[in-house]
Amino acid sequence: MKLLSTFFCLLMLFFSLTPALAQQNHIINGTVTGPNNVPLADASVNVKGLKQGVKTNAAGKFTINAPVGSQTLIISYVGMKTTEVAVTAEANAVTVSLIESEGTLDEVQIVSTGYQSLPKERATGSFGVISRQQLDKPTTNISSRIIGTTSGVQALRMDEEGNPFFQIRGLSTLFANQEPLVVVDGFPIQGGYNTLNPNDVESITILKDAAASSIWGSRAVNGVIVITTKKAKRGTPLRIEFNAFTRIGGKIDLNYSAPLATSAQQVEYEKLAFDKWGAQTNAGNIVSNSGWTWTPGQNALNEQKLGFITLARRDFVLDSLKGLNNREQISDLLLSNPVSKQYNINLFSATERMSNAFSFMFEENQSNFKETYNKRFLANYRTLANVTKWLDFSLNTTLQHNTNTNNGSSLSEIQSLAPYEMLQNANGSFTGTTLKYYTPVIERSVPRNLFPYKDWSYNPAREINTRSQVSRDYNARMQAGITIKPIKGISFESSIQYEYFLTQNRSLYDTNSFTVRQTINQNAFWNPGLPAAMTTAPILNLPKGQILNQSRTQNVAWNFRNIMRIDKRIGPKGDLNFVAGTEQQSRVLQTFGQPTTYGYNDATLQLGIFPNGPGGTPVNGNQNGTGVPTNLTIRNWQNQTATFGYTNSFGYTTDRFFSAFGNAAYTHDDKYTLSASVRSDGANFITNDPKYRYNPFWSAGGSWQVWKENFFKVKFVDRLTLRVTYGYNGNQDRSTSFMPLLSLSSTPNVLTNQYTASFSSLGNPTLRWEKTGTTNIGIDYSLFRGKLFGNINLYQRSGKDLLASIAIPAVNGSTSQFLNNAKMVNRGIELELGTVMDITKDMRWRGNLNFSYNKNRITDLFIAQYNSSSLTSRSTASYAVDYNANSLWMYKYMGFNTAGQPTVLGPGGVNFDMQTFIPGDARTYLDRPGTMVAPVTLGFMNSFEYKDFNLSFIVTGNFGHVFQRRGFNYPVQWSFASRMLANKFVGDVLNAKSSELLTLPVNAAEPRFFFWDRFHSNFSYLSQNASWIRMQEVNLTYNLPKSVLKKTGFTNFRIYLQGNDLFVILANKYGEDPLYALGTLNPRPKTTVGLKFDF
Amino acid sequence: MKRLFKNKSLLLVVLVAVVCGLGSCKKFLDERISKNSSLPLTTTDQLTALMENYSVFYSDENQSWMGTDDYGLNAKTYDNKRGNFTFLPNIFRAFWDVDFAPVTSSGDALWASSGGEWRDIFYANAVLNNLEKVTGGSPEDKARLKADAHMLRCYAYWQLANTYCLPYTEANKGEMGLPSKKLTSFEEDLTRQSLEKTYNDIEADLKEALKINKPLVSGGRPEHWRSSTAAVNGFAARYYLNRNNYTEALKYANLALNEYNVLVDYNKPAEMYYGTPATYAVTGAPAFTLQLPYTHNNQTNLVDMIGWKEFLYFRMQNYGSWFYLPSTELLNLYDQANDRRYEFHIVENYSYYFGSNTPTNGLPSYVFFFKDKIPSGPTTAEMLLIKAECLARTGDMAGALSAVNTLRAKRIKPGASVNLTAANPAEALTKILQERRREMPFVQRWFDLRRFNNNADPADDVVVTKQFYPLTFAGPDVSQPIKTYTLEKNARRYALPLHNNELVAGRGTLLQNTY
Repeated sequence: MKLLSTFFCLLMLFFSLTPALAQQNHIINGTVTGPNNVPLADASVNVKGLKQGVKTNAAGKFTINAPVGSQTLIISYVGMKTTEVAVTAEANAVTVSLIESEGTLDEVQIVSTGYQSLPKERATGSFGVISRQQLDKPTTNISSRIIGTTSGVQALRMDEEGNPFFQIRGLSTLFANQEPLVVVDGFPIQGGYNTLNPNDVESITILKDAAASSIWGSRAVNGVIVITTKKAKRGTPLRIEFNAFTRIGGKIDLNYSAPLATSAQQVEYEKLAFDKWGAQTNAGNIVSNSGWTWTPGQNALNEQKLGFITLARRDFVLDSLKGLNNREQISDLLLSNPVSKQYNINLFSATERMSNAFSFMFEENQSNFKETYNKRFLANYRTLANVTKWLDFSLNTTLQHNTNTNNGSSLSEIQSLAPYEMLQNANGSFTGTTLKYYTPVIERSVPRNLFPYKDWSYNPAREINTRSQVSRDYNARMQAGITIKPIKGISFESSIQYEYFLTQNRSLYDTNSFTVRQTINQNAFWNPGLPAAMTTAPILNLPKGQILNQSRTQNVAWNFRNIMRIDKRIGPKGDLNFVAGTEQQSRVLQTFGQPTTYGYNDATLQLGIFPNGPGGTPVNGNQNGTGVPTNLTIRNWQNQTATFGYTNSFGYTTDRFFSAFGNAAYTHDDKYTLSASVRSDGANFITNDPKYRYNPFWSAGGSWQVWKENFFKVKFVDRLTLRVTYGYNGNQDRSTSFMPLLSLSSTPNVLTNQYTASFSSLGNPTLRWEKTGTTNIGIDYSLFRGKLFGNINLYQRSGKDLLASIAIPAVNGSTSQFLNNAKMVNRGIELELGTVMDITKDMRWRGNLNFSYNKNRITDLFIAQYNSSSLTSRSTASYAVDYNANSLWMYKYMGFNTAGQPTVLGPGGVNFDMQTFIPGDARTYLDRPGTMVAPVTLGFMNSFEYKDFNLSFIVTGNFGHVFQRRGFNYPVQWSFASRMLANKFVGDVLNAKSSELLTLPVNAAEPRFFFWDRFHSNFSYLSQNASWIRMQEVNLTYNLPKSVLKKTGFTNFRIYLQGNDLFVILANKYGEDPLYALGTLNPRPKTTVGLKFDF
Repeated sequence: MKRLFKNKSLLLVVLVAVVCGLGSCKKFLDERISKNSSLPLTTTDQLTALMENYSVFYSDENQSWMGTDDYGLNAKTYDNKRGNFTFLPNIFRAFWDVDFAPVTSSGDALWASSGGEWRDIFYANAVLNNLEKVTGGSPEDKARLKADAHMLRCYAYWQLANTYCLPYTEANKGEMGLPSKKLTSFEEDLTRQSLEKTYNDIEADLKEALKINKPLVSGGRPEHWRSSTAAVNGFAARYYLNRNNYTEALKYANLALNEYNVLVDYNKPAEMYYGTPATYAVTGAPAFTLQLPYTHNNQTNLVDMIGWKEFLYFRMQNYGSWFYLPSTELLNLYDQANDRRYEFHIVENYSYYFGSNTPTNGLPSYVFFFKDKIPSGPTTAEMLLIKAECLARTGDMAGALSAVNTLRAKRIKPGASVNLTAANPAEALTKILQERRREMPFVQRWFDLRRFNNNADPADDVVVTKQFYPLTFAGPDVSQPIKTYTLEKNARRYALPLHNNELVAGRGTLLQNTY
């Protein structure tokens, strides 16, 4: 896109009919060239001290009138360093060769809205541009390059790989989509950053205010991230870039991600809490209790209580458990160092009329867990051909194949292992854990030899080698366009993007996997109540053999766009830039689920049948009192009804949009720019009246290059631009309609044999597009000859008609309904400071500091009753009118009362014990220590160039917010898949004063101990200052010196060493990272080593 | 080329293209969002599928039963294990509180939950509002849908009126009834109409429902999850009994029984038997095994509920706290040695399930389907009881006893105790009403108390009294002495209060009952 528009700018040259006049002037002719001596068209040539200038033609030539005498010409060109050339009084021909700039803020920047690329000078809106330097660093995901670079762009959450979820200028919507729109080469894409080759990215522009983004209309409210890919520059002979790196990270820190008590503490807690405080007791019954996956310690205590082992035996077992620690085995058997390897090659080649760029990337990623890894292949080909003088053709194709293997264990499984629960015996054989059964009763009461599979044991380390859970992506994306330029300055573009994404999931479980053994055994009919059961083999309801699950998702999208552009000089001083067009988009998402295949043999492709049918239910219920099934119902190993799914499942959804849009920018005298844009989006909403499908979004803005005014004579100011914009963006949600909408069941009801339907929405009489009006006031500046530059932006974003769950009388059929009734305001300020300074002759410092502040408030929302359980849920249910949408609401702990019950503050200053939920308006009695999203964010990028070395680092910081740190988890002895695992704060609680901290129950009988968890994790004493400063990245690059390069034939050759997620400085003293709560995966420090060369 | 594209004409062409594009895109944007969800109502098959969705309708969240004398919550059982009774709205309901109940943190399930009656009414209105607009389907299909939807709305309104409004008598006609909701729109007037208007609505719906032409049994099985002649007649019998119109009630009970009279024989092991037992550890004693009826086996699978042969119209009273604690008075009504209902449905020491695992803490519970559900829709058993009561009240003692004994033959162990006898119609009536309470505890008692106290016969009037702690906003105040709660015959508290959430959400349109 960018190349295209550059080309139109070239055409513009023919319009630049600057009259050559004035007798007493000196005429200077010249040529401007870029790298490889390619002539540069449309470069600006100015005579220093004079405000007007000319532009070069297609052959890079210019003619300028200068006052007689020696002059200095200033030549500038987008993407190149602005260069000054002294011209002697006699000279009348001059050749200037420009060199590429690296896109820092002191140079002329290009911003791209996806529809247009224009010099930042001429833009009225608020744009963030990521520098080339920053994009060049190694990464597996291009989005991680944005972190910390741009004010107002906050990485709200990050996964353990450090891949971010961005929020731009605060929360824009309460319930609808919160993700910024990602646009690649002019088209919004499916599949996100993972479908992009990070080495292909030329530039990233972030559209922040209405003027910048309203051309994207209804999809722009969360901001737009515009990515342009690399193209071959005209006249480039074959150029090859190669890049390879390896990134290795530390293993998971189990003390952080699985913060359990020590083995000794765990055993002590189990003894302390066993059968106490409303505990659910385990009778060791084969039917009732076999699924109670208690810890070995709990099991020992219970077996002794039930009389199956002696007290001495119990204590022996418990004592030996105290001495065990499985951390090392977990690390050895289940965890892996995360390793990424990436190899990438880019080929560029261009003639005068055709340019080609090809890239191929291969990447291998080992996750934190053994046997979970992926491989990615990504190929791109981009071409642009000038077919005739008036016709251009472009093509951009991407092919991607990913194989994601997910056989490994998971953090939640590792967290559920008791600290003494070993995976391997001393002799190296696998242990059997108690993660799946109350094993004593299985061993005692189940005739395991008679079951299809004798082995009932489960071990995570063994399991990861018995399954093959693989998802494969086959993705293709094609963008093609033709541009017709019938007359100078006007062009038509017709372009299409087609995307085909297919994901296939396949899970194959071997016969020795627990999944197979459990499924087949548990679905064999056996009556545990009959005495004969002990000797009779169970009846198989499922065949033995492998189990196979398959499903696939297919996503086909196309986007067809027609655009007219006008780039024209109007009069001697005016520049008009106009775009208008229409666009149709369609996306069809299909899902296909296949029924489970039992008795499968992957070697022979044979499969089993249901020997007794798939189960299901008899028409007239159970007719037999003996407990033996005599009818259609089949029974499982516990004599309970079993059914097996045998149907396929399908999904088919269509998203369609029709949009018309236009944008015009007029610049007068290179000083004054006015811009306006309008867009109307229609979507395939369900409505009786098609007019509701559309909503116009518009924006207007102006900028003033104050520094170019003759009256402006502030010496230390190089550049100063004022910008003001206002406009609307939107967001869409298509889950509601004016009328009720229903969903159909996919299969007939198993009992009535009839299809059923239910209401998915009861209707939304207020249905409309969400709208956010944004005002932005900005200043761009450059001071002290580029020593200090940057921008300041002030904004207010007022969202109205926001979709929210609003209380309505239940008489309408529901107590709440999604209605477009809420309002929210975000106000903020953003500041960017940059510098480029030569510290010594050989050392240059580039620094960029960005600061943003955002304040959010919900100004309208109707909720009938603010319950404490909702407000403390830290979800969409905790929105409250007149408060920040991200408010943290917490209970105030009030100590134990005289009855020995812990209490929290309730309404009217009354303390409530924690036996039941608290009535009343929770806003009146909950603590609200602050907001969970940082109002203040900071990014600080630095690079030091010293001779051939470059050292750079990024520091990010979040300030002014709070989080709820993890406290003790008060585990309860409970049934089923609930294990009583104390976390590492058990010591704090045992030694605490009950007036300060919730201790364990003081009453011997505490039947509602299990209910404490509704409160204890939300006590306000757990709220902490969430501020942090993070060493995001340090990079050291060594460039082979030019002298060496000459001999080798390389144009560039660099090796680099990079560290990511190196350390974080926390404001809280508990060592808990607010971005990655204790008990979740936090990114471990990673080191990258790589090399990059081109020739 | 240049000539082809004169500046102005060019712009015109583009503008025209854009405008035409807008016009022709209507069809493009008419494409459905999904093939199986987010669908507008367009076909008769969709309406049928809505009415087939019994999972939305079958559960009656009625909790007024806690106010009856069937419920055994009192100071003594509360103290036995307070942790079993912590859900405050239930305690407030049990003692007819009108001050704190409306401001509890949880709403009111019958009125306001997603399985509540107004949701059923929404479904019925959606069918009735769209019946004329949808395509496809035969006139018979539409007639059935119409009657079906009227029945659904009628049943829901009847439940609401008998819970939140005073009993319908000549004197109460002008009291507050319910909003008259006839549309799916949210913009309809929600003002509470007079009780008379509400009952007129109910009767109008019943009249439409009675036009149904679909028998209960079809293809060899009773399709009781949708309306049928037996279902509507059965409900009409209940309705007229509740209005103390014994002739009409008898008429409809007979119509229903003539069509379908199948009973579950508790004496046949193939029809009623014990299911999977549950074992609980007991402090200081061997583990205790609870014997539970087979109907307890399935919590989420409705196979046994749908398979319950006595249903005319499939409805279940649901109780999320899983503990139908019977009062001593109710327990004493049973012939504990011979009544199979006691054997199967009264589960002694049920409270062990809740961790009350000391032997002295054992409390019984009435267990029917799983731990939470009791049949509450019209059944053949209810029809026999209505028939017996109406005959007794209209003087046919022999007929009355014969009807009630038909039921008892399937409930009581064979022997001398099966047949009830009476010396006079009044005694017969008393015994029949006791039988009614034994057969349908917890589900019909509240509605019965309301009609007993408002019919012509003072002999059946009941004043309910209970012993409990004083109540506060935060629950029972156990530091205070126990007091006696009395529900007088004509107490205004027979109308349960609306929850405050509803009044707030109504923004002034909905008014609270007065007390």
